[in-house]
Amino acid sequence: MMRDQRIGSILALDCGTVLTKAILLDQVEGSFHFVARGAALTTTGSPWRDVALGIQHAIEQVEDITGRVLLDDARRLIIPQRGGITGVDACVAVSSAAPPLRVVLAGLVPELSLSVAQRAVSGTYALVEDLIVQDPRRKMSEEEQIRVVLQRRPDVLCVVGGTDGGAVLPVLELVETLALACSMLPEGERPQIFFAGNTALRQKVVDLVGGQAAVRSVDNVLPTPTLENPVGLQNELEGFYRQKQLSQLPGGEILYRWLNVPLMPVSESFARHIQYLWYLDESPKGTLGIEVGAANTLVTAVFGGEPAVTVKAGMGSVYGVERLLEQQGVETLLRWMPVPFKPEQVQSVLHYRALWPSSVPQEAEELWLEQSIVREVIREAIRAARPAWRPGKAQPYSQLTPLFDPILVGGGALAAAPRPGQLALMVLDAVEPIGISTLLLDIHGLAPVLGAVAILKPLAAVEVVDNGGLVNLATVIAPVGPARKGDVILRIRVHYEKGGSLDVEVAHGSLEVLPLPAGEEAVLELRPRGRIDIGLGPGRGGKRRVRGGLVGLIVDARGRPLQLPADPYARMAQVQQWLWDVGG
Amino acid sequence: MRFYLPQTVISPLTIVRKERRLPGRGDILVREGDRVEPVQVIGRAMVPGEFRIVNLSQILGVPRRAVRRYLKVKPGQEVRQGDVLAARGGLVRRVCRAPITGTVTGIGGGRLIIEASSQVVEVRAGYPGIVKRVLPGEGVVIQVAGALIQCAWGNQQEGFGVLRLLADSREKPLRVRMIDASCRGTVLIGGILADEDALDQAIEMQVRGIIVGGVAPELLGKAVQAPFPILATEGPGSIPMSPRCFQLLSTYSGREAVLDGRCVGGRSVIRPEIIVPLPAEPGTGPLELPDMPLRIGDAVRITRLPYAGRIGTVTAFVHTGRLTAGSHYPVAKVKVPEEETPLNVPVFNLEVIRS
Repeated sequence: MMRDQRIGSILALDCGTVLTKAILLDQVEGSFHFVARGAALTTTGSPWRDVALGIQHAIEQVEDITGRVLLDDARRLIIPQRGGITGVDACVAVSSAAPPLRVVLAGLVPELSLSVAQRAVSGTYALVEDLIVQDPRRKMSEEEQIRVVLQRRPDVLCVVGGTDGGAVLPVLELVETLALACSMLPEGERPQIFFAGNTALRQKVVDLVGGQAAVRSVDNVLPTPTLENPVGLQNELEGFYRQKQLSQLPGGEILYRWLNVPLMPVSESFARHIQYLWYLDESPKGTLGIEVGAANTLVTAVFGGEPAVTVKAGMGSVYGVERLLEQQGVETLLRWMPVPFKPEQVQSVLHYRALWPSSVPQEAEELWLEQSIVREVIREAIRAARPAWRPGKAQPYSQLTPLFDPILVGGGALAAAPRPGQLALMVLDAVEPIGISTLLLDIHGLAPVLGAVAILKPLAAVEVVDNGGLVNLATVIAPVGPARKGDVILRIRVHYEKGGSLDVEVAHGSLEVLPLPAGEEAVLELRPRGRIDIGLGPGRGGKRRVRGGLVGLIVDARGRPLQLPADPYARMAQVQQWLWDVGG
Repeated sequence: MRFYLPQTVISPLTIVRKERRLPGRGDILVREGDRVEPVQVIGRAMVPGEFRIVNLSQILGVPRRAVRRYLKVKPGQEVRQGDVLAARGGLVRRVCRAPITGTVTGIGGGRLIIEASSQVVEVRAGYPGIVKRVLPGEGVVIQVAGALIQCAWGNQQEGFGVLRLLADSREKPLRVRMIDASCRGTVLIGGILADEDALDQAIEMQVRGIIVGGVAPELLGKAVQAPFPILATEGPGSIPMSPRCFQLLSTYSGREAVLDGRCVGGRSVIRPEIIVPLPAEPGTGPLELPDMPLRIGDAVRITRLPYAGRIGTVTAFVHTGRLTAGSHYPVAKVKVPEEETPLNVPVFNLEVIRS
């Protein structure tokens, strides 16, 4: 690996499911800046089956933008940098382009160890294809259990059950059945078994499985009835994903040769970056990062410095939406539309997006639909992520979103919103933050790669953020508490740093934007009425210094949880009004 | 800036290589160089049948380890339903009988597995052509010479039949009155499929397939259920067939065509395809999709509304243009036959047509 001190320019690659991004970071006056970004179709699938092609196309775009020569005549990356405008000193890459692991979970009680195992799976690029439950109440026969394995043909069988020193016989019976199932599959198609149950049974499990499949024992996900420990299983799954999927990208040999640090899953790099943002001010609140990709959605919440990573694999702004509609119905999407839209049109648009995933909405109606999809995908990802969060005092209301500051959002569908107000509204509708939060926009797609950059050169990752790599979208004040629509619930005096002040009375149910441009600061004097809480405790006010953003200062007094009118026409009018409120 | 876009093929004559795989390992019945017809069986595979687990330990009332002592069968042995698998003497005789006819495939942990006889699945060639390559035990690659049209939507079904042009213009929807008994066994060509009654009539008349420009969104659900392949050359929606596709298909009316309606998005895109087998001309080779950025003069198809399905030629690039939706993207000016002035289309909403 090149010595850290000598690295003056870095090319960061992000191979996504649909697009491959090439991001050039370089020193300007001794400090690292974001310079340029190119994007091209990912080429891991047919007809290309060669990830290097998409990478080369994306790098060519960076060449076109910057005039810098990065590829030689054989289209190899020029490393190290020669002179001012040829090559780069180092290259890092992250990827979510490999298909997720297909996992079958087997255990005793769905509500206990199986639910912890499910959380472990959701921490990496893996999809739970099915559950095998050895629970007398469920009456799942051995044949049914075996049939699940034979039909699903998973990459991984995660077996859990029994606290340490707890259940023995049902776990062993389950393992025996699974071993039989594995023996019925052709040798090359047998799953990897991870045993994360009663620690005392590790050797017996290995003996029972015999040579029918590869077995690895990992920490019990539920060592005591009250102690949940998904980390060991999550780490194993992540390692297996790297080994089985990530290192096998078609045509990846060229890419692997260019890298200064091994190819990393996007989720890991992204989580490192969100963790770094938390450490910037070690806030008692949490820090939230959301990255909506085409096929996967990442949610990382950091409380007390500890990241909780959730990968909603197979569900993103393009793929997996049909599954969401099957579960929740098309109305779930249509409720966010400001204009009428027929359910059958939704299918038609989804088809175009699936077949041409890099295409963009040209008409307003399709744009609203895509933004509705983003809202619901984020809501679904947060629902999946919440069980893993340990917010402590950052969660004053158990049914509502914990206190987060900042909230970072990124991903093609978000960054492509034509107006910053639309983007902010998507985030507010999807996350429903409470209290005071700064919304940050990852406009250049840096957050997924900066964790990997930080491994190579920590200072570069820090400086790129300091030098405007992330954009302040808005500061949001979201008061919560009992009130009637139209009641004044909060008085705000904005003292602008540049001089002047503004007094505002906030009515319950309203959504307002106060002017506070990007780059400016202001001190807010906040006086909530009655039991209204702005994140400082019911009825408690105070002063807060806040920064401006692309939208300004948003006061979201619509209440939590957000309620939409039941009548479709009233709902459309309301959604349209909110859009106008935030500037279109 | 260089943009590398998805590519699609509309070619009057090319060489297509199609892989036909068995559902599991099996026997390949053809050899390299053999000429095959669509209905010809190219291979057979054994697909495992039903299975049952017999808990011998429980039925016999003996510990698991002791079960082997009472076994009357061995792994690999064929048994008939009712045959004795294991028996235990003593005061109360206990007998385990086979619940199904099949083969004993495993014994372990006090249990025994019987798998019913495997089923034979035959795979047909699906295309008329030459066996280019045999994938031993797995399948074959068939080479077909002919016209190839990659489409935008398909109902996931495959089939073949004689093309029959029903519409005299590419905009004309298929109507009930067009579809009579003479359509039986043919593949209908129309402008648009927007009439549910016409689809019902086609089902009743037992046609072999339908090719149109677009399928109305409200008919997509029903089209997926149809017992034959339905392909839309331009995509879902009431979109007329492009002049290029209509002209090509009209030319080949009366010829046999193979329809592959499989349509998969995601990491590996599979496009629905129409192949009209034709005699290969000397020098005809497989179409290679070049690794080349979009250029002025390229033939393109627009892939998103409001112009979805239109085919034209790139006349210019605009660095950044503002769309109706308000977003800003690099835009290409695309000249389509239907419009006087070129359309402004984001480059991401184009695919390059190769022929």
